[in-house]
Amino acid sequence: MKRRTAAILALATLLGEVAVPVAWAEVTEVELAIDGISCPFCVFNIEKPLKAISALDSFRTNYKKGVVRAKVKPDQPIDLAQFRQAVSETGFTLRAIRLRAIGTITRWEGHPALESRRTGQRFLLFKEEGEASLTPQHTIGNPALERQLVAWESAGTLVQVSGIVHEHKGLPPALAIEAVQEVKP
Amino acid sequence: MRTRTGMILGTVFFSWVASSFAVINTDTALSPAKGQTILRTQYSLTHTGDDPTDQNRSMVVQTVKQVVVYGFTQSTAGFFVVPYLDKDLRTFSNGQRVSRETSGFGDIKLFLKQRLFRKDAPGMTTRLAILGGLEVPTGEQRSSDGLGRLPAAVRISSGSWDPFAGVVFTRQSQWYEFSQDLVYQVNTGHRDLHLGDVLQHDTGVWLRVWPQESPEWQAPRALHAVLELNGVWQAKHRSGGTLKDFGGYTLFLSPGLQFVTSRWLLEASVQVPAVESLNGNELGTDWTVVAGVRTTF
Repeated sequence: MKRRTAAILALATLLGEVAVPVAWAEVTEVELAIDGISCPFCVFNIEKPLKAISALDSFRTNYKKGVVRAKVKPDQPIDLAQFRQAVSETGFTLRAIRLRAIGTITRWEGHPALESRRTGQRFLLFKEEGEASLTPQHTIGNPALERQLVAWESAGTLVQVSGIVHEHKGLPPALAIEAVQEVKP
Repeated sequence: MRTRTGMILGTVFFSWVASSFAVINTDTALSPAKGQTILRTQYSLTHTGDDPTDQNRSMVVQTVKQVVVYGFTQSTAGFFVVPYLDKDLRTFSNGQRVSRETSGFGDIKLFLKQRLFRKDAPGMTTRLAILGGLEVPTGEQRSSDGLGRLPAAVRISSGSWDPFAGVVFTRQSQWYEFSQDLVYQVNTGHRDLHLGDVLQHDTGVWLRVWPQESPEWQAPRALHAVLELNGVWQAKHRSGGTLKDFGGYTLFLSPGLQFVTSRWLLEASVQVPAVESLNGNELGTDWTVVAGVRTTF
């Protein structure tokens, strides 16, 4: 993971630093893993600011696991910074953001990426497990998945990716792939 | 009659800061979120007696306390506490059993709590906070009734501007909480009476007794068994010189229950003295019953 991060950061340096972009991709579901939710009142504390985010809908909180899931309203952009700020203002710690997003496979500076159908925004894609041969051209580390992504890219196939968000300054937000599948338009 | 003052004021001071989600009579280092409000209403009934003199004195104090907590930032909260008190002192006067009663709004407390340390983990948090504020003499200062000058113990207001400060530590998980606080109040005195300073220390624990752990369980509601040790020490009062029959130390053992959801909390507690070391003819507390409700929005 450190090697991957280092490689991505090195790429960012080569490209020059730009502001972390807003993730406008077609995200259909957001899951926030939050540390410090130790009492029932905490659930209200955390849901209140999240419900103020207009793009989110239909909340479901698992108190035991400290996880808040929310559907994203159709065609509504999301801003990852809003999640971080909302959780920060509650006094809890945001451990991870997990997204489910739909788009087509494309390339961003040689990296596989998920591109939104409507907005053109991208999530870089990489995979946590597998043999890492991380270069700007190989961030997946799983040959079979790499080939599948190339095939989907060539065919313009619509795919759904679930994964944990990784953000690095100067790069589009990245998704550590947990599940990826073809979906019908 | 002044010999009651210390313990009664100690009782009023007692259990005033635990306003966020926490054990009943012990403060917590947990604070509301930025922009969040917590309301707490608490009723307490205290019976004092065990008069070491031959006057067979006893006193009942009923208090309804309203606490408003507001999160200014994610680590700073403001507190507003206003009590309504009803005091009834039974004693003998000229061979007759008499009642000296008074009631009204007491002195308000205003204070801030600032979190200094936070360490979160899945389903668990550890926090440390400091607090500081002022008790303002807004209460009714009625000084006499049909029988003459009211004993200080029956009065509603201390009449003085009294600063206080403290520190509180909390470790809370979905299964238990441990909290420890230490608060010191400097009583500055008013006219001819200077109440002794107050040191309060509280140790509180709750354990979740329902629901038990299960893979399906995820709803934010629970029943907690609470056990606390609440200690109050008060220095001797001064009125010209030091008054030997005032102040002392009492350590209360306080079992209780809480039922909590994501918006509401119902609670009840009984406080009985486990250790009592009072000065002179100071009256002791027999018991206190506390019941309350909290909500957040």
